[in-house]
Amino acid sequence: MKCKNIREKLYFYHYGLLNASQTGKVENHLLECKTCRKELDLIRNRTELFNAGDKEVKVESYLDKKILSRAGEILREKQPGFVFKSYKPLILKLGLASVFVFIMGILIFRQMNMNNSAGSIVLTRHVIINDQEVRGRMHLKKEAGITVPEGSSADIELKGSYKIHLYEKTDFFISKSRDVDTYINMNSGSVYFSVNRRKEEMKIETLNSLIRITGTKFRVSVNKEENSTKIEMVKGSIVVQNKFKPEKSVVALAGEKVIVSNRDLPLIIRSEMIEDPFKEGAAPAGKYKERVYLKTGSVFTGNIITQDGDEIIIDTDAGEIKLNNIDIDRIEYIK
Amino acid sequence: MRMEKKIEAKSNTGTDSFRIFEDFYHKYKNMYFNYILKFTNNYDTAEDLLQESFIKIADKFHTLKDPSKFKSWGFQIVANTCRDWYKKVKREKVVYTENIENFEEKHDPVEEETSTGEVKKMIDGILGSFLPDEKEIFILKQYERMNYEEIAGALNLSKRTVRRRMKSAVVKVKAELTRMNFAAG
Repeated sequence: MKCKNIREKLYFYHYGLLNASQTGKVENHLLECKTCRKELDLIRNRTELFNAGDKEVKVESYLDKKILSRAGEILREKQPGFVFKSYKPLILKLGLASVFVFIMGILIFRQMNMNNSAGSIVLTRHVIINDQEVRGRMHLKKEAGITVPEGSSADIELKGSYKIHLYEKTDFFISKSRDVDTYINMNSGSVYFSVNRRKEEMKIETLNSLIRITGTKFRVSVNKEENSTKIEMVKGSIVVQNKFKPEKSVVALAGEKVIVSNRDLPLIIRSEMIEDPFKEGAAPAGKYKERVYLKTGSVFTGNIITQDGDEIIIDTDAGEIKLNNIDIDRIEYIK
Repeated sequence: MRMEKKIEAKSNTGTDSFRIFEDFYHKYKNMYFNYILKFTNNYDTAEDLLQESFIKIADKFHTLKDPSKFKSWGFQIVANTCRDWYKKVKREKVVYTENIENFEEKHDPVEEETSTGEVKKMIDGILGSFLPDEKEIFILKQYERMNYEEIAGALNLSKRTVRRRMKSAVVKVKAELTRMNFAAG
């Protein structure tokens, strides 16, 4: 009778499923009872059948490759988590997280700002931006084609990054692009660049040359008739490349003048320093004045601040005056 | 502990975390694979599920706090993948035929006596009669020789639950093996 009870429990005993007191009882009985010991042996043999034909199946190497290459991709994407988890205290984690979010916020904000505009422009007279006549101060979009007529000039400024002065009779295209911060294409005229080394990478393309810079001061002039580009260095150094013969490039230093014509290696000549249009007292853009003649015969003298659609705001000695574009007869520029 | 720190520090770069992952992969892939194979009893499904499991493991690898616990941590993902598979199969009412003969032809055929083949059939019959809850525990106990504490850790269950499910599996084993004994005898 006792044996029958014990045998009922032997499978559970074999798999270690009995509690301590039951295990004790079974083991005590097994010491005394040969039949039950035999029964347990039988159970052991039977359950070993599970493992009898069993051998380890190996993962095939093509599957290894497939899995590891996918896992590699995922791990590369997931990398930052590993850095983060090493900082154990929650406070530190939260602190780092908020600093991270703050910095990312600033970076994203900056990036958005930079992407949305190529800079702000201050005009002395008037220029044509994307086929529209513009006076005063306005914001440039991501891309802008600017034509500066005879007798006018313009400044483009992106705070902390660069200042660009456009001389008269200049045909100029500026854009923000992906591979370089600012891309500029010059068809004709003269442009003075003052670029902050740390912040801006700029690529300038003329009829026949490519100029890549990270920070310096110089003037580029393009002569359409002679098909030549002249670069006058004020500060720093730049690399000038002949567009049609990329192997022909030179390094120009401060005080040097580079002339690029189609056929030849860019020619370097020592030259006199040019005047920095952004230097104090160098007749900055805003110092010119406009004289606006209305159809009614009235005349206003001052600086045109903005041109917004049909309205022009002019800053005169008597204060700011708003004028309607259709009332204007003509505008003259005076020094 | 010092060793763990070292691993963590090393894993700061993507390539290092991949190297650690690769080490773990080669160490445990066969164990995981054999578990999945027994659970599904289908070679192709097992390959798919192994891949799915390791992709999940890679995806969550950065959340692994203690690299020394990779084995059971990874196994939880493997076991869950198997459970999900079972639920899906059940829902879709797909009948997976247990094609043992084909499997053995394809992978290292062994000359087997008829009686061994019959035993295998019976063993597969027993495994097939288990509920997935019972099956996963039985495989770990019988084939991987894990103790109940390890199984509880690997499946993220309480020890009590593990023992209860194992008991119901053993009842089925007992019934089948006893029956077989009568038939043979």
